[in-house]
Amino acid sequence: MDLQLSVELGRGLAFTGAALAFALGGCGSAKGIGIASQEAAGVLSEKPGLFGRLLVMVALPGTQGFYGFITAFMMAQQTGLIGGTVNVTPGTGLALALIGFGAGLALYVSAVNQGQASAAGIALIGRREDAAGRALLFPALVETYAVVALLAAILFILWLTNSAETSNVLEYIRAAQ
Amino acid sequence: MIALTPFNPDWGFVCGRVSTLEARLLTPEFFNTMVSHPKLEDVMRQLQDTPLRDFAVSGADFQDWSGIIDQYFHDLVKSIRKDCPNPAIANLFILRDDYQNLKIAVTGQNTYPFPSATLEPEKLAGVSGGDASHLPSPFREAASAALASVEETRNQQMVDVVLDAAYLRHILSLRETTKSELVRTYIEDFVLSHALVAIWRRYETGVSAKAIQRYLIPMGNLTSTLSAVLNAGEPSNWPDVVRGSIGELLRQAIEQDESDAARRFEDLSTNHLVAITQRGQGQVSGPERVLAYLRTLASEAHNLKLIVCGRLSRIEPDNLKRRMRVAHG
Repeated sequence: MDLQLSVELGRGLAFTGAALAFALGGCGSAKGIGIASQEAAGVLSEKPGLFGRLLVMVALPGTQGFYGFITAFMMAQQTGLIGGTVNVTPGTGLALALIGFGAGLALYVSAVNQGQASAAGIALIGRREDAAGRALLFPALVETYAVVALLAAILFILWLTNSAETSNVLEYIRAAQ
Repeated sequence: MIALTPFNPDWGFVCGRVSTLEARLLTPEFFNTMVSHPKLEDVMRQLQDTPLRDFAVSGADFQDWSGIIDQYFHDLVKSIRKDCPNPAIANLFILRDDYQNLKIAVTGQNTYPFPSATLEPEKLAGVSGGDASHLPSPFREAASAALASVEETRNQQMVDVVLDAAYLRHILSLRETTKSELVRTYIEDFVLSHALVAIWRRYETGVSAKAIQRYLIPMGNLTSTLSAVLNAGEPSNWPDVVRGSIGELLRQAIEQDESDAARRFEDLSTNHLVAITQRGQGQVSGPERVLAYLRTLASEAHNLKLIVCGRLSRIEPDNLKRRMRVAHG
């Protein structure tokens, strides 16, 4: 395969992975916050004094969007897409695309479900203000799996991009040409 | 067990509101204390501790409280209806008032004491003048049939039969606006139990089954059951032709209270409807949650009015307690 084409393909796939990670994470967060906001707005229409407590619950599903951004940034940085020489083989690029998709999907699903769990917590606070602490706990548990997805994505990106084979393959192709 | 609809964010706002309003529902202990007060002043004082106080005008007399309770219930249901993606859920609880006003309008009167749900007094004024053409469907058809009945029979009881049947048909048609199995079951049991009470009351006043059948039938998928009831004669035969939980409630009512079994059946069937809707309380965002709240609110309003009117009429607390409906506050 032509070196230029190989690097282009690798870069394109790496970009795809980064795009999937932040797009799915961001969409999930937007949807999750939307779900929780509707419930919170309903509670606030009757009890405006609960704004402070409900804001935390509404903001909870927003973290997945940031995790998606971190994943995308890591991919870009480790593969030289930001300010460096791009050294991604097509195989590594495909792996990064799949990591981006996997992490993005986990972030999307967890954000939407966290939005629903937050909505349930908000409903509980609306009914019993003294339950605010416990109501926060359940949506926070959903966060665990978003954090796991982020950690897994970071580790896989580091393992993939730091391995010697990636640069060796490119060196080999360069030498061959 | 009836399945609830999946989480639906479109209902989020109204369900959030309902969550806070649920916290204001009155507890069974509240009603028990209220009914047991030896003095009317104490009952009134306790009423002042409820959300009703916002509706009470200064100097409100004990007699005024029944109207205040009606207004509170009606205004709250209407404000919830504004937030509902499907207004039919709220309409289940306030459409009756429109039909009550129609009953008055078709007899030519111009004062409509019931709060309006969808029919404004201006529209009802046309009906008072004998013209129902400007009403929206299905009110138009109902009012036209009632006006024709007035012309034909000059009998208020028949007007009541015509409009009660039209009301139940209207409620039954709301079933098609929702996919929620719980709401659909509620509507069907509501219409069947109310139709049975309507037939029972007319039966007691000597209106012929044939006359009732003329206006009550057809009634959607309940037509065959109601036809069988109308052909069964005595109410004691009805449990044999009405299947399911409503038939069982009929049997219980007849066994428990021979003097006023119709009223007993009304109470039992309302408690059954409350029990159906209670499952909706477990839903975070969906129509069942709103239905559960409104059903409890309706029972709460009924209990408050029962206590207020009962205490005014010096009815024994034990009798009032027996007639109170289940309201899960």
